[in-house]
Amino acid sequence: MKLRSLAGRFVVILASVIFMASAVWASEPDAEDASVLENLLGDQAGVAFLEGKFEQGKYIADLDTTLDSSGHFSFVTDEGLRWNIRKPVSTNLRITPNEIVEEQDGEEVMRMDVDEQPMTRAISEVFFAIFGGDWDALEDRFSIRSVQEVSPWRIELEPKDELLKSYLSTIELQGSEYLEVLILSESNGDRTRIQLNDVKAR
Amino acid sequence: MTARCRSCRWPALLWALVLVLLVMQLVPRLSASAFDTSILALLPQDQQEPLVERAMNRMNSFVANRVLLLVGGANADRDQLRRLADQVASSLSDAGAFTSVTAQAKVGWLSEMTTAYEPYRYQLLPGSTIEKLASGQGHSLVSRAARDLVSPIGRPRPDSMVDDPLNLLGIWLENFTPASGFAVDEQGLYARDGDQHYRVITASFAGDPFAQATQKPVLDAVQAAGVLVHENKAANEFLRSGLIFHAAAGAEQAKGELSTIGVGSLIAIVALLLWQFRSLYYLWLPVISIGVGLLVALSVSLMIFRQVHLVTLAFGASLVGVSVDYAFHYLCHARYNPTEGIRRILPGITLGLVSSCLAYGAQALTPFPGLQQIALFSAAGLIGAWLTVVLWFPLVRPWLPVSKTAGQLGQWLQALARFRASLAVFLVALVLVALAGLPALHFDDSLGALQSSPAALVTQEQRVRQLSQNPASARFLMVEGESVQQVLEIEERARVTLDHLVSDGQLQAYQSVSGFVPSIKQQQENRELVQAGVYDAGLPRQLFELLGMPAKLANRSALQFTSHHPGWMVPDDLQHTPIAALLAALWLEPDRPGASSASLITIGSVADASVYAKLTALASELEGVRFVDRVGGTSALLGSYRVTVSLWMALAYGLVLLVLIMRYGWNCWRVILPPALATVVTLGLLAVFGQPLNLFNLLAALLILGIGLDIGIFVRESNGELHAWEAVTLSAITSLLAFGLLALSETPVLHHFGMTVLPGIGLAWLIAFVLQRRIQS
Repeated sequence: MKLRSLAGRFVVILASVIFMASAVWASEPDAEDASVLENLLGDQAGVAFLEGKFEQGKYIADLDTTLDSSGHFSFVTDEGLRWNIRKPVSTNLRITPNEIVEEQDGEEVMRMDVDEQPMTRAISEVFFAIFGGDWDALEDRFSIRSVQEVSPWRIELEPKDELLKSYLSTIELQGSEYLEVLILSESNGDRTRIQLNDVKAR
Repeated sequence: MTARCRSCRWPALLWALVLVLLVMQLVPRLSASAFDTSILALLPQDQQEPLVERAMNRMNSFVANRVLLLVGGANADRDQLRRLADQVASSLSDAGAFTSVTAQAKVGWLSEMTTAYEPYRYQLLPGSTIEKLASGQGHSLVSRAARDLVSPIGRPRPDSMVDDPLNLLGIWLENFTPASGFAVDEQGLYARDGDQHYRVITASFAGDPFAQATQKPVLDAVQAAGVLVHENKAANEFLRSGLIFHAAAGAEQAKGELSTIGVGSLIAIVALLLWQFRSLYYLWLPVISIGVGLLVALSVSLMIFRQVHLVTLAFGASLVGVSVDYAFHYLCHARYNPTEGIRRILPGITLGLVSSCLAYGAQALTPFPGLQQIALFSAAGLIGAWLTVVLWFPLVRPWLPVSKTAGQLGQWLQALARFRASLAVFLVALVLVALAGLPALHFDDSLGALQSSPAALVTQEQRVRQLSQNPASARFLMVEGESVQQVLEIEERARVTLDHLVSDGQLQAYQSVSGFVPSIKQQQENRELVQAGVYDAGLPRQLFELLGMPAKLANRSALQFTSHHPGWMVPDDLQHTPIAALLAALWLEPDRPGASSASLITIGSVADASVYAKLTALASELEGVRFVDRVGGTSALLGSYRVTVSLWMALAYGLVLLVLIMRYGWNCWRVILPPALATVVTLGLLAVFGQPLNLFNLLAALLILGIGLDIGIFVRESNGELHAWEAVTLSAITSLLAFGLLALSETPVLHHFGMTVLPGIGLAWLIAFVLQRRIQS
């Protein structure tokens, strides 16, 4: 299996989170819905545009240090997600249902077809799951490990698939009114914490 | 008469004894394994190059015991297709015909490879990294490593930042794809073509794919899987790929034809004899002589060769048409001449036997084992039948009914004799047409023309090849060297060209041992490059600074590098990894001490045939590299043997001519002209119809010589008596029945044979008929 395939796993999580977040901002959570996710994250959103800033801290277990990075993101319904890192290096990622493109200084350095990597396929599926209001599809990929419904709410998700699980242990989502924090815990001990700030929807 | 028969009783008894002995040694040998259905067994052993043959066998084993099944449907139905693939996989496992069935991805594949390569991370660099470091562009590796660390889709790092700051190991591992050549998603292997999505199921089985015993359970299991797929609404395509399907189709075809041709000609002959002789005795005797002939042929062939090929048996069925000649000659003679013994016709049939054996025996000199078998089979069968006619038939003669007047056939022949003039005109016209066509004669020796798998199978095979990067087994590179390391070093030199071809898009992919384990020389160079280009150039320090991490980490990583000496990696280090089987398959161990080692480089699909020319050029430039092209090589072999057979045929004609001159003097032209002219006219007619000729047409021409000679000899020996004419006409018709059916065969080899012999025998009879002086009664 191409190693780059593993790269996709992060995008799954990231993209699904962003899309879930956009759904949140567009509507109120409905406490009477059966599904837990739907409970916390609300109905389908018709969000056309979403943007904000992020701060990422990656804790590297064997060095016992944290690597900080920051930048801003934007999401446009027909264009996909843009993840632009500014510190400590500058690079721009564009994720669409069909491919992932990396650009640096205006030049394209990498282009990956969705089907080239095992995991990237999962992105577009999650993407449409969120926007289609298809929470079942999301629950197809992850099982819910724990839920704290009192604000600030916390959900811990665990991948169902063996392959994904071998690299990623859990995903934790936190928020009050909307999604604020995303924590990815890898199976080798590394942990990535992404904080979303100044989020605006249109 | 009684006295004469007493003296022939002893030889007859002896012959019976010999037959009993032959049967006794035949019966234990008869089993399913006595019959060979492998196409490859028909091709000559490459005596001069045993290493190439080993390589070919190894390449065969790649595909021989594997089956690929693709379940296809629309892209939108992926999930259903995945579930269906799992169902198919479990159905195949349950059938018990396979040793392993895979539809799922192997979860631990990558981590096992990582563990194996990890100690050697400073020595393993793919070509792109080497280029960057050598040309002083190492800083691009730094920025790449930094981006990977902060980006959500960065390349994973198997090692810590201290052990491998620039993630050289991650870059190295990126190059590997699973050996089956398909793409992988989290559910397993798949392929995609536009809007069509295919799930791939691979299955392996034990046993010989050409053996009936292996084929049946495998085919049944695949058939059941096919039903599953057919019933599922999501799937609209079911593709099969595997040698076993072709082998089974070929075997079925050969067997089917064996029963139609053999049984068909037998029935026709029986009908013919009953019509001509109207007596069961006359019917039983030829059947006995044919039966004995086949028995002798089979037992002698199994004695000399351990296995007899099914194609040999198919030709054996045609033997009927020839060995009845002797029986007919005797019976037709006996019908009109109850007092004369066998001596009258003995010279005729003996000369006929000698000439036919000379003609068939020529095939034994070809290096093709299949043709050698056919030569022995037919010669033994003819001799057996001849002995039966000579030794046994006279004993039965007292019981044979006699007739004074000509039978139906005889009357027709006498009537036909009146139209000799118009027949001669027709013949001349044919000759002229054929002569006009002769300049257009062309040859096609390509192996492709002899391919006999059903079209549907071939299409599926090509489609599967298109969807995957599976190497074809017919063309590959073989690298020979005195030691393991020398082989790897030569491979690396060859790979420079191969990499160019891949990056130009001319070659899809290739696989080599040195791609998985570089030679020690290369590893040494790599380590020096890493020393100079990474650590001495201070790249790790740059990375840590960029990321705002403590500078002391740079010192730690440099210390790690200098103190790490794992030794050099060799192919054995990968013995316990998932690719161990692949490496073992690509490597040819020396088969005796002091012999050279060799490895195979498998080639994927190419953009066009010019790539093969480039590979041939590569092989001639580099010492120790050989480009093996089985398809081209075998076609060339067929062509050169076609030339050999045509020369040998000229020699056969010459020998036969000598024998005939000894017997008949200059009048032998009447005997030799029918087969000779018939051959030329047949080839000309084939050319007129645009048929390209190959080796098998020429072998058929040898057969025309044998049969045509019989016609000429029998008639000449008996001075044109009616019984001789009846006999040769009967035998010509039975030969036409036997070979005519061959022309209907779907196997190209048999088809070409039949298409040549059919007009050939007809014309030989016609020419002899037109030439004869008179028909006496």
